[in-house]
Amino acid sequence: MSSTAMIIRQLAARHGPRAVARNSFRPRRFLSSDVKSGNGAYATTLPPSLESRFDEYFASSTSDAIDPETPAPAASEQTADGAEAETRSVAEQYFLYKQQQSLIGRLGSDISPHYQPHTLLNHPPSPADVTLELLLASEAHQGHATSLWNPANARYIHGIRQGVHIISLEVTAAHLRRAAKVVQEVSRRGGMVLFVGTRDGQDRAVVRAAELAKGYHLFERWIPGSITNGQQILGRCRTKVVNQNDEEVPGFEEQLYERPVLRPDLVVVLNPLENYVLLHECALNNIPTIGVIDTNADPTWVTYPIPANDDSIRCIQVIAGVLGRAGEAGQKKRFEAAARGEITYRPARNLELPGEEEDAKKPTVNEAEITRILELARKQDEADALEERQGKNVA
Amino acid sequence: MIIRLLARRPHAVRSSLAAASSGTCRTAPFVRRKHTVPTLANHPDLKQHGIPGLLSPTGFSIAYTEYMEHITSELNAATDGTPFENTPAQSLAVEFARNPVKAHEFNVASMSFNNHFFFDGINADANVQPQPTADLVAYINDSFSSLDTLRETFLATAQAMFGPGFVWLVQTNELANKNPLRILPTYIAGSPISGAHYRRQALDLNTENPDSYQAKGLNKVGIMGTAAQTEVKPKKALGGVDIVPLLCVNTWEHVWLHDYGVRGKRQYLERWWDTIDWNKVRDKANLQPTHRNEFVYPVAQKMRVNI
Repeated sequence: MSSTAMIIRQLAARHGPRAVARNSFRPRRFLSSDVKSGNGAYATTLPPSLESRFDEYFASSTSDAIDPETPAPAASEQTADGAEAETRSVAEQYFLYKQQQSLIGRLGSDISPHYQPHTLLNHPPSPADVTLELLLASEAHQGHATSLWNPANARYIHGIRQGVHIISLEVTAAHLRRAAKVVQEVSRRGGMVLFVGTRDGQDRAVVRAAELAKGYHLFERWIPGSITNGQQILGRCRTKVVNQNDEEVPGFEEQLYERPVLRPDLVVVLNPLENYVLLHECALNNIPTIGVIDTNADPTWVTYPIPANDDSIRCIQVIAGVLGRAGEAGQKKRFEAAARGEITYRPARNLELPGEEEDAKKPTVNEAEITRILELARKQDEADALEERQGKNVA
Repeated sequence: MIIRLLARRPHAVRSSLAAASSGTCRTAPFVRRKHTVPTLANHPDLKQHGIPGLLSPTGFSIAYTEYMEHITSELNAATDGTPFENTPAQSLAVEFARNPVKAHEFNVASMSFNNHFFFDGINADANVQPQPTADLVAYINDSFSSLDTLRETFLATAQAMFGPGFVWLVQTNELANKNPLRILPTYIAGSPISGAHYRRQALDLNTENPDSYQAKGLNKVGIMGTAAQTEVKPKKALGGVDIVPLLCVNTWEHVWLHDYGVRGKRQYLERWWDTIDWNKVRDKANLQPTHRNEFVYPVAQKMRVNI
């Protein structure tokens, strides 16, 4: 130990206190940097991994005495490890931060309730929360210039203000509640709901609504023919068979191979003006549709129109949120029924359970057939025996 | 200089002109106030009887009701129409601390936070005398050898501060620290929050000399600067959790002048120590033992997550 102590003293004499500080041996950090040992207790004997580093360090420190410019890798590695053990992980820091914020984050003043955009996506309103005030604040009443209107929407319009049609919010609320009921019931019966919103800024609303309702979403362009020419466009998509608890049931791969592609049972469109092809395909295939109808849109394109402002992202987020929540409620009822042992839907036809199919392939045993064959064989044998005896007599 | 200072506070000029013209300070009828004065626990009792053992009803109305009303209207004037208008005071303090142009906005946000923190940490119920629990006392004894030592040091620090400010008991969350609890004085409107360290204002430069500069790390140039740092320091904690304020005392004169007089600061501080709500101190502190390599999540703890 004395030789190493001498080296350190020489270093200090040559390069001043800074060099010693850089290369100084800090036993506390060195020993507490061993993460595997569990607690940072002071070890009396160094484990073999540390011993090798101990030697490595002193080897590098002797080389330092010769050439002071070479950095000491062991020293820097050691301090970095020591530093790591002294700070908390990011998860711990986040937890402490959240705890702190819940206790002192609101101190200073009470902030009056105000619109926070992210709440419409993270905590969307449910159908019961739909009020005229909410729709007004979300600008659902703003229609287009009067010259651009579709006269079929006259029944939804309250009046004109500043050259713009104003949609009647009672009508909006009533139609929205009706659409929510439709979505809820389709979801309760295990139907496939497709939420479509292809304009800028509608993607998050659409995804969130589909997530809540356990449905499907589309925020890019609808591929024309996905329903009418579905076998060609969607034929390669994987389908699966699920039981009443939405758990996949294996063993149907061969049967699914021959089945046609699936179609949605309900389509919710947030911008029907740009999705005419989709709505037309749905109409051709008797698929009900819900759509947000502005004053310039055609209400006959959809089955259940919701007269509202489709240009306001806030309005779209409210409507998509409400419909998503309705779907969530329907799914919840479906699962509750499944837990009671009831199914709310008609099971898929022409599907045989994997076990039953194997039984059909096995040959069935028919008793009558067997006795008949045995009788025939016996008669044949008797006839042969008679022939033989007659042949012998003759001979 | 006066003109320049006024120019940095355009809202002050406008509101003062409006007040001068109208005669009384009144806000426009259709403007919704974003920030309002927060209510304390037992607020009606406090308004009627003051804080028992500390402030009379008039003293409480000066220290809290009138002052918070003033500060809140200043806060509204400072943030209305800006992107920060619905931000809580703590976040505002962190945001404005680094910008000298926003010094007034910082002052106002920091004062509202500090003052509310002070009154929130006082026990409002006269029938209850909260004492620090055993685990908290043990935790205090790690850093200060006893609760009495903490009291003496704390009150001496507060008494020695010349001029208005706050004195905080903070918990520093670095695991390497053997003494996690520290006393932190902040002069005038200084903030103990980690993110607002530019305006911590923990030192009175009138009481410093070049040697104490070096010791406290005030000298940041040359060989003492960041470029010359040779040792690898651990990274600062995210979210500002490295400094947790636990309790504070407000040493601004308007709080104690009415009830205790010009010479009554010491008496006020001693009376305040008896009104501390130690349960809140324990809630804010992180009393878990410092397991270096494991983190124990507390069981069945409800957290209000503010979205």
